[in-house]
Amino acid sequence: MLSYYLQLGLRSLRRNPVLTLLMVVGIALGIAASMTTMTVMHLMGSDPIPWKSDKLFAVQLDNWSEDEPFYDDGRPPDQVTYRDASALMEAGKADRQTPMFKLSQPVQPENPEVKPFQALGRVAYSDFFGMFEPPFAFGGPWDRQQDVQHARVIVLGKDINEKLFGGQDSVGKTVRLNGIDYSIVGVLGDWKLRAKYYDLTNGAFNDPDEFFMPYTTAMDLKQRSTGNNSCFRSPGDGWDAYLDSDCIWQQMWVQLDSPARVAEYQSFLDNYVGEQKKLGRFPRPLNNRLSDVKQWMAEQRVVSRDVEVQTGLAFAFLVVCLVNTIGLLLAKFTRQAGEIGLRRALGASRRDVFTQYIIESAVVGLSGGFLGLLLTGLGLIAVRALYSQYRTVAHLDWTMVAVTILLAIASAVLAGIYPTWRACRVQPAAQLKI
Amino acid sequence: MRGLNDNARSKLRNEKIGFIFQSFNLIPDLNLFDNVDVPLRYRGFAASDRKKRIEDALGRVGLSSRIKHYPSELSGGQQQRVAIARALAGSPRLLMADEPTGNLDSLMARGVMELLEEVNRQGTTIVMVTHDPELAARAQRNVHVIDGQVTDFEETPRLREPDRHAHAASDPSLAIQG
Repeated sequence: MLSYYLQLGLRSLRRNPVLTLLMVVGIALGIAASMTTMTVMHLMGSDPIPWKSDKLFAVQLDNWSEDEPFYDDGRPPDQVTYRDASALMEAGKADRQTPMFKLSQPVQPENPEVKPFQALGRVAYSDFFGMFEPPFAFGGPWDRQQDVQHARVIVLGKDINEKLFGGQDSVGKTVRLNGIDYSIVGVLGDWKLRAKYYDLTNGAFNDPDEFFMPYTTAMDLKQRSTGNNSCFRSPGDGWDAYLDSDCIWQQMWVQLDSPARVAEYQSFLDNYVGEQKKLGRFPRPLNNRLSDVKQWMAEQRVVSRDVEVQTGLAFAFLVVCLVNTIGLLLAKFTRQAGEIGLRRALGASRRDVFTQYIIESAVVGLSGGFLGLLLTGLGLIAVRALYSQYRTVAHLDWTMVAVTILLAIASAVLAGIYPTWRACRVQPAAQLKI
Repeated sequence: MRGLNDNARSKLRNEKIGFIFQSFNLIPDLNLFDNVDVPLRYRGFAASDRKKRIEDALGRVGLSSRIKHYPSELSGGQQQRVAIARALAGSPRLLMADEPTGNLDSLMARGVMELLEEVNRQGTTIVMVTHDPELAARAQRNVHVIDGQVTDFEETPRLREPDRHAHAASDPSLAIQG
């Protein structure tokens, strides 16, 4: 009977085309508004590395002032000092580990036709590539030996390689940054990062990194971060004083491959801070944290309150559209009272009538879902055009396509319950005079 | 009937009773096949069984060649024949007809009545409401109803006398055949 009711539902769409169009457009608009904002919210908060997000941990150490906490709610700082990053690297207690920071450098192309430009990149250890697994188009990462040797090597992002070398394999060539030549060891492919989850401190939806440079090399060259830098007291003068200060400016990540390793590392951190306390640092109570990728994204509010409010408002609009649909379905089913009476006379039970008309509502929802999907696509194009920071997350994925269709059907069925219940109450005798 | 719930009443209507209406009550956007199919769908017959019953029923009323046509493409008499086919397709024991010729001209009405008489001869009981004393006279039993009250009951079929025509035509007559 289901296929029969589906056929009747499709036929009924054609029976009152204007009424049908009004309902379908109403549902489609509500669905499009909801799904546009929900897609952005969903992709903002979705797991960027699901196969190992529970193995990558952001490290937080509370080295802040005893006079005031870093955050009012007691959370420790998001970044660590150079001293602590170096100590953690030297201890090497994690399965993989790297401190990192953002670096802006002037690029001086060999090709005179390309003007010098400023590029934003990342300073990290070679473990970065094994931990966060960016795809390589050419070559690969530098190795640990090159970390130790402070090698002047570099990995280029896809866009900068396109700009400097026309997208060709540039491995083995050199690129000059701020007057220093670096040998290119690898070129990234298309790294589809929705959120730059490894550096939320400097913005989850910033541009992708254009280059990657060894940490040891950058420190040799006394490169300071061009990202966030926070100090609760003056670091003093000079490079060495800065490195020795309690200023936080590096993100510290570790890979821990099992829960036991996580517990061990937490214990190691607590012991490390305990030792530092003996040296007069870390005046605040012990407050070291390891947050995996999903915890880190939630804590850093990658999905902002604004986006949540917009999504709520869009769903309120969907409710208004559904109320409108209830009225239109009532009108449609009332016009079909004669046919309902006839079907009842010919043997349809109330349950048969209910099933038929609820499926008809679902067919309206399905049509609204397809149109809504199209409008959602247009809405996301508009979001990408208006809000460049959302360009990486304003895309439909298959999950959201399925959610869009299912939500449209569920909404229409919900809207159809009352009109369908009314349709079931039609008495055959009242319509047919027998 | 009073003690039956909705499902049981629906089943009774579907399996035991066929309905024929004055205004045919065919569903305009279904073709003849699908119109006759409506009560059979609720009966739960297999598709092949339904197809055979529909073709038989439409054949019985002489509309086999119009099976894919829509009601709007048929004359009033043909539409009523489809309604009769729909009523007969489920092999009901009782056929209830509400002024089945009320919307037809006399030629078409005669054809429909002949068809009903043939159905009756084949063993189906027919209850027909009519204002037309000539049609009532063709029934085996007549029950006269005025304002919901039975006022006369005639056991044998007969043609009405001229002085009663006006009275019978203005009062609904229940002709019971069987």
